[in-house]
Amino acid sequence: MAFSKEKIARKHKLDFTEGKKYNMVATGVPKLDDVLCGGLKPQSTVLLCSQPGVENVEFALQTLFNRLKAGDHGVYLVNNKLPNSVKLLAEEYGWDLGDYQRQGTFAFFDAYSAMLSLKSGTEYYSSEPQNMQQLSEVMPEVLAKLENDNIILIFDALSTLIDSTKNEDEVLAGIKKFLSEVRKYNTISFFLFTEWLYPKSLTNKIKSLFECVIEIKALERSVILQKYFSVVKAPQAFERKDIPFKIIKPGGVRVFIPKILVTGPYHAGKTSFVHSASTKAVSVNRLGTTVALDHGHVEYKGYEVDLFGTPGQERFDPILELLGGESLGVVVVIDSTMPKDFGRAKEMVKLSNTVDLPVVVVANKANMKGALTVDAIRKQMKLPANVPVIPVVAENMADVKEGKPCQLKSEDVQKVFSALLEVVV
Amino acid sequence: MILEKIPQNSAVVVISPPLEGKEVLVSSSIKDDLKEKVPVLIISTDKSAEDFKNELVKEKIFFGDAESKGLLAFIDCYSMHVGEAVKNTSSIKRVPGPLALNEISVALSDIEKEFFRKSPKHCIVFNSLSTMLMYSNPQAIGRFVQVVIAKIKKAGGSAFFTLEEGMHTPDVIVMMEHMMDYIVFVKRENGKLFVKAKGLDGFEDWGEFKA
Ligand SMILES: Nc1nc2c(ncn2[C@@H]2O[C@H](COP(=O)(O)OP(=O)(O)O)[C@@H](O)[C@H]2O)c(=O)[nH]1
Ligand SMILES: [Mg+2]
Repeated sequence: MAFSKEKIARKHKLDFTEGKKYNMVATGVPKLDDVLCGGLKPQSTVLLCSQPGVENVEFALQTLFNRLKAGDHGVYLVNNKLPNSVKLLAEEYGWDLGDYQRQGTFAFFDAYSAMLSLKSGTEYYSSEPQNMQQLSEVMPEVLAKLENDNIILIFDALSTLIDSTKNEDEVLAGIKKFLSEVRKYNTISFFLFTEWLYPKSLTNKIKSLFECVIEIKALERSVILQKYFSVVKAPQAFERKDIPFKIIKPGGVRVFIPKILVTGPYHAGKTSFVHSASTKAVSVNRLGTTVALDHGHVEYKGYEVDLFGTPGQERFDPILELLGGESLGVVVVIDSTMPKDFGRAKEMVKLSNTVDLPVVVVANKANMKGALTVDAIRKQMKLPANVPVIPVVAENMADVKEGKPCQLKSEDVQKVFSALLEVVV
Repeated sequence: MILEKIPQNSAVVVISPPLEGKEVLVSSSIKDDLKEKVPVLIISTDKSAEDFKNELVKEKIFFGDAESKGLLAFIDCYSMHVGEAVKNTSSIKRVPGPLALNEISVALSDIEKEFFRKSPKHCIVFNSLSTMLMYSNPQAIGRFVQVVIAKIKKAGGSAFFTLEEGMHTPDVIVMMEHMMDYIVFVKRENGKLFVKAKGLDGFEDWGEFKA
């Protein structure tokens, strides 16, 4: 998937000269800089807004470390854990903050010890971490010492601050003051915020205080299926797009293309499906059957998805395992005229369900003589109600040749994707 | 037996004065689950995972290979909080402390995903809510608990929270009770343990608890 700035710009009519004009500050988080047309605007204020169950500290740390490496300075305010535990976490990702601390280009600001009525062991700390007005006075002193063209300030976490106070309006006013004070020191502020069940009005007010809002979310069924981030607000032109990610230790935030597994019995039409659905596809065929994975690529409502068609004879569970955290769902293709092969297909539906992957049954060859109806297939395969069955037919019967994948009706193929992705998107 | 009567997929708070018996009840539930190969996650806020394990052994709960099989896991919110230089193990995830709510929720989601693949049901023991309430305001913990319960139920799990009696104002106790399906009270008298459960038929009055 080419995410070149130029391509995005053309597609969305964005103005990248703007990026050059402001000398955007790259975060180093993959794809984030692309959708932001180069990175963060200098002196901007950023809210990293995450759903419970999804990481946010890693995004801030990765940006911080990349900026320190590029010669910027940084300060990490933390109010919900010991500064040292942030440092240890960073080390697990391969980001050594110690060097920068010793050089004096990076410092922790301890807003935690006072929360527990303990004495702080760090140079910079607050005795009243709930008091944003006081923080607005103390922080500039730290920033003045760190003096640089670019300073990254991490505030971990805004939700903790809100959770520890009673007067929310006072906090909001305090944040506003804080943001305007710190920006005088060429600071980009990064506030971490987890969306616990706060009143919608409060979250909206918070979001309105920041120029840039990045949301980190999860597709969830019984458990979290996949995590993604997207920019929803920025002072510059940006692309609104959900970007799936994983967090790897060491390494940090990694982006990938979600995968859909296309499986089913021999000769059911898996290769036909992958090719018909894809903008580009390759298969390794020998003697009229697929001997290796079919591979295709689809774009559906702004989602980019890779399709993998299995040869059909192999064991299914190791493949599911292999695609593991990267799969978005499973398409089980059956030949509607071949009920004797349904047993294996039924097994595949069951396995997908046990790992919580959305699954759709494609009842292929639906208009052929002897084809079972959707209801009959449901009954035979004893399908649970949450598994859709979509009948699919060949685009043009005259083109169907034995031993050669055929083109499937594109309307039908579209229906399969909506049914599959509707459950998760 | 009271524990067997609590339906799957419910949220329960176990209330007793400090060290007055809820530990026995919770351990007993852990023991039952492990015996049936139901995965158990223990979220510990007031002692390390290692100390928790030692106490299980003291209660004569031997978990054998449950840990290596991924059927027994811990989220340790204590060790890093007191400044110990500890690492994650295959069965123990350390989070930085009881105020690091986001980190706790991430660790919980990760472990439930593993459990979900192993078993249609599982159990989360949260010991204790009282520690959490010492550090954040009750509304904040209320929001957190509400999210956590929803997550656990969605994944097919059951949740056991413990709460110290006498440490919180009545309105805090009432708020916590509101979010739970069942409230179990435990007390010790003359060396015997008694339990009763609000909302559970046949257990509304005090009765002796035998592990
Ligand atoms: N009539 C008809 N033939 C189909 C249809 N889909 C696939 N076929 C034919 O069925 C055979 C097997 O298809 P293929 O995609 O290679 O199946 P695979 O083994 O599951 O990959 C080929 O000859 C296709 O042309 C369909 O919807 N209608
Ligand atoms: Mg094939």
